[in-house]
This record gives sequence, structure tokens and C-alpha cells, in this order.
Amino acid sequence: MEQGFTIWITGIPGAGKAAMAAILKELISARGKNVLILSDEETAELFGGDLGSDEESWAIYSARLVYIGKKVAETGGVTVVASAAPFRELRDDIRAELGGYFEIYIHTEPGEAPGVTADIALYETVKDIFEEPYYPEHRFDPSDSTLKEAVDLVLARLEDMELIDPAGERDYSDEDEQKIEERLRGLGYIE
Amino acid sequence: MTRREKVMVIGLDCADPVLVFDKWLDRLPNFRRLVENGAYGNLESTIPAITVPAWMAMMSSKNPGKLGFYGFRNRANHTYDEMDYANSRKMREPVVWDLLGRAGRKVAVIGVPQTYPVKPVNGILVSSFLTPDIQSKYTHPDSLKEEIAEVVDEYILDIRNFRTDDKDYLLEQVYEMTEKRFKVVRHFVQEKPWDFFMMVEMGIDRIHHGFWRYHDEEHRLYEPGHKYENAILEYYEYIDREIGTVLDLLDDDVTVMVVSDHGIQTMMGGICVNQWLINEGLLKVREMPTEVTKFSNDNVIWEETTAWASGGYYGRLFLNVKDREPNGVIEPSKYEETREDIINRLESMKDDEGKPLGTRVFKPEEIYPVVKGVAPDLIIYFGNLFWRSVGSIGYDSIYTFENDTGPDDANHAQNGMFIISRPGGKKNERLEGVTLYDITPTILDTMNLPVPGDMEGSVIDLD
Repeated sequence: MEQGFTIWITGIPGAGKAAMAAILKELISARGKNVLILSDEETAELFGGDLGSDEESWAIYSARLVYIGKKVAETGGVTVVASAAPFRELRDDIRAELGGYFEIYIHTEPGEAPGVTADIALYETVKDIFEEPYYPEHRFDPSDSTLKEAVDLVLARLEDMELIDPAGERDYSDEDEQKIEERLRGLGYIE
Repeated sequence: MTRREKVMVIGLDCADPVLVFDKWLDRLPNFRRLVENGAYGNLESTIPAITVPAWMAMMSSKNPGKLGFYGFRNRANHTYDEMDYANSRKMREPVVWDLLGRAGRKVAVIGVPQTYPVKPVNGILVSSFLTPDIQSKYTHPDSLKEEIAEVVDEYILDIRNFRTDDKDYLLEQVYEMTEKRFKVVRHFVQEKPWDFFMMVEMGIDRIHHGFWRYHDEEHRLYEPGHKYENAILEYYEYIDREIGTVLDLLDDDVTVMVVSDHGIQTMMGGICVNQWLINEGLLKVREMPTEVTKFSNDNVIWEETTAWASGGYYGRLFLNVKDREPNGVIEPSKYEETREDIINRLESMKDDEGKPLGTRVFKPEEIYPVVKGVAPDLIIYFGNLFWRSVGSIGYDSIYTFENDTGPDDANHAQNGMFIISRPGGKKNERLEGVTLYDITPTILDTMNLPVPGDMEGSVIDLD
């Protein structure tokens, strides 16, 4: 069976992770994949209710989400996790553990007010400890692009990584290749 | 908050350190200005020292083995015929502008080889000469094409009919292409937001290959006082002026890099590698042509063939191994012995005057830590790249002085060049031991970003 993968949307509470997860679920499902969303809003109490907010607690909580992500991937499905996972090292561990991992970071400016759906207590806890990822697979800056533009780019990148099938015909035909071959021959690079 | 540093990379395919630093620096005021305000020197290329894979190796800091590119065209599998062209889709490692975009930096990328089909970037991208034509989707975003057409009318991806003997036409084409590229660059430098800007101009490579015989007194076809004697120098002077117009648009705090993917040297001639394999009894053909003929797999008696090869600026030799190739003959247990035997024969080759040729032969697994895709069994630098590899057969000698792909006077050299002018950094200091793998780590470090641990290169010490 084809292996699935996990998309992990990180960012401070109220950044818009769950909203993005919902759109991604819809679009990736339309490409024939089963998609499960795990969002802090739903899972924090169930999987983290017994935990605190220190680094170790975040690691335990994230490990529980990772476990589900791995199981879903084994069935060929996709898990979209919308969870802060606020530490870089923690996310590096998650990446290493999951294998098929695609990280999206929703950037918010420091001091920016959280979205209306944010868990304020969680927001207060996370905003000061959150470490920005250096190189997420996609960085979404709502001040620079729309959510639609962001998910379009995410889908293009997933296609490029061959994690999902392309929506239509891709722009590289045999005829294109022939033109390039002729040019290379003309330039003497190939015979 | 850390300051967002800006970097401008001017890539000049094939720009040569000997010409720029040692011969003509006094004639190139803008290069000189950058040298005086920066660190500079040779930039060691990949093996093979060729546009593909060199630019992608530079921009990802990964070696060709890790990328799985050993040239423009690579074996798709171990059949005899199936070949794959290197394109952006085959590029699985992130390049510097991918990483920068992922870190929230705005990028502008123009003309870097192997960027077609175009992938989205956090900014703009114009693909390179490895694009079918300008009717293709050669920009990101797609609408950028219209903007380019407004600036230069018909953008030129590369020179048409490069192997012409009509040198006036060739010269005119090179200038027109370069002029348009720099015009587009200046437009985007001013009109688009960017933290990282990179362009690659192919004109220097084209002019080297087309005009070297008129420039190099050592070339066997050199004619003193020919009207094209200074064509290459004059083009470097022109490039220098174009660079000057870009530099004039930049703020003083921008770090400027000028880099090339390999250098250039004279071409003494060609070694007819398949003809040599036939002479050595390692390659059997059904019919030996009486005139020079393109090598064709259909003409090979595979059951009696040990090895065959491809031509180009360097040689690629493939072994016909049992249980690997469809009609392989070399027992896997004899693979290494056979390879060593061929290496010895290649390395002991003499030139047409009986002097040692100085051929270098590389085993992929010895020069690359990882070997992905289907690499040649041997990579050959005939006469250390002073001789080209010629694949055609039907020659009465293994030496040829007529190129089977048309007029060409020069071959690639292992060292390209670099200049890095960083405000507050080293000034007028020639550095040794820098490789093209060091460029991307240095860009990331300059832009206050960490260097991923799997990069091959190191940050160049500019302080």
C-alpha cells in the first residue's frame, strides 16, 4: 500500500492553523486521499489533559499525535496536525520520527492579537516560548498572501514531492523535451 | 530582531578566473571594484565541470552523486537506450532560494540552469536556456512573462544556431541575449521586493566556445590579428559595464557575489572514445562506417561488448555487466578488475604526438559519498579536459580535430571564479581552497540563517 504522510501546521494559538487544516483536508481529500485532522482545539484536552505546559509535556503530547500520524500513514492516509509544537528541537524530533513530514508555519508578528477562536490560556503559554522554524516546507505569512494562495502553493509542493497526484496535466511534454534536446545538441553539450 | 541582510548573486556561466583576475582585471573596472572590496579566487567546480550539474550543486551545496545528475542527460535505468534529461522536477534537494523562501525571505531568480519546469518560489523566477521556448510557462508567477515582454519585447533564452560558422551573427546574438537579460535584471531589481537576487548569464560560455581560437595564441587555429582577436575581451568589458549598471542600483549594504560554475581552457582536439574502445576490442559493432557517423546503440553487438561511451566536454563510459544490462557480458565478480584494466588503458593514452595525454579517470563512488540514479561507471577527463570526448565512430584515428557537433574551440576548466564583496568583510584578499559547495552556506550565513547539516560546503570566512 502507498505510504501516507503527515502535514504539521505550527504557529502560535490563534494563528489560523485549524482553519488552514480544514481547507487542506478538503483539497487533499479531493485528490483521493483519506485525511484526518488532529487539532489542538480537539486533542489538547484528550491527549494532553494530564500534562503541563513545560517542554517535556509538549514532547509527550506531540508523541501521542505522532503515533496517530504514523498509524494513519501506514494505511496510506494523510494526517493534518494543527498543533503549536513550540520548540525547534521538538519539531526536529517529530520530523525524524514521522519520515513523511511536511511542515507549515503560520507566521504572526510578535504582539499580534490572536484570532478570535484562540484558546487564550494556551496563547498566553505558548506565545513567549514559541521558536520559529528556520526552514518549514511552507511558510505562510498572512500579511503577505491569502490563505487560498498559501494552500495552492502547499498543494503544488506536495505534487512536486510526489506526495499527491497532480490535479491536471503537468507542463512538460515529450515535445518540450525534444526542443531542449535539440538545443543541447546545437550547443554541443550532447551528441 | 536580526537585520534582514540582502544578497545579490551574479552568475556568469564559464567565467574564468585566469582571464578575470590575472589577465584583464585592469580592463574590468566593476570586477576590480568588487575585488578591491571583497574576497575572491578560484571556485573549484564539480566533477564533471559542466553547467549541469554544477549550478544545482552550487545552489544546493550537494554533490552530483547526491543529486543524481552526471550531466544534462543521464541513464534512466540500466537499459541501453532510456535516458532522462535533468530538469527541475528531478531535483529533489532544496536549493538556496527554496530555503530562503521557506525562511520568509523574498527571492528573485533569473536564468539559473535547471529551473524548468518552473516551481513556485517566494518571489519571482525566470527559467533558463533549458526551457523549450518562451511560449512555455517559463516564469513564476505566470504573469511575469507579460512584464518581461513589456521590458524587452522578445526575451532570449539562448542563442539560436550556436554552431554556426557565421561568427558575426553569433556575436550579434550573444550581445542581444545578454543585453536583454541585464535589462530584465535591472527592471526586477528595481520593481520587485527581494532579499535574495540571483541571475545567471550564459553569454560568456557561448563566446568562449565560439571565439576561443581567435583569442588564444596557443590554439592550433589561432591567426594573429584576426578581426575577432579581441572578441572575448571586448565581451568581458561589455559584461563588466552591464554589471556596473546593476551595482549602481544596489544599496551599499547589499552583499554582492559574482560566481561561475567552471572555467575555460583551450581545446587541443577530440578523443574518439568509442573508436578507441573498438580498437581496443572492448566494443563490437555490426558495421564499421566508412565515414564519421553518430554512435548508435542499434549498431552494437552487445553480446561481444565490454564497454561503450558518450561524448561531450568529458567522457562517460559504461560497462556492459551481466545481470545488470540486458545483454551484459562482464561477470559481476570481474567488474572491478575490468574497470581497473580500462582505467589503466585510458590513463596511459598518448596524444597525437606520442606524449602522455594526462587523462584523469574517476570512479563515481570514490568522488561522491552517495551515488544516486544511474551514474557512468567511469567519468573521463581526456587530457585533463584539454581534449573533448567524441562519441561518433568511423574515424581513421582516435584523435580528431574536427568536432562532430560543429565548430567549438574550447573546453571547460575545473576552476570557476568567485568574488564576494560583503560590507565590512575582507577586502582585496585572494582565498584558496574555495569550492562551489561553499557558496550556498555563505549566502545563508550572510542572511543570518543556519546552514543545514547535510550541506557539503562550509561558510567562507569573509571577516
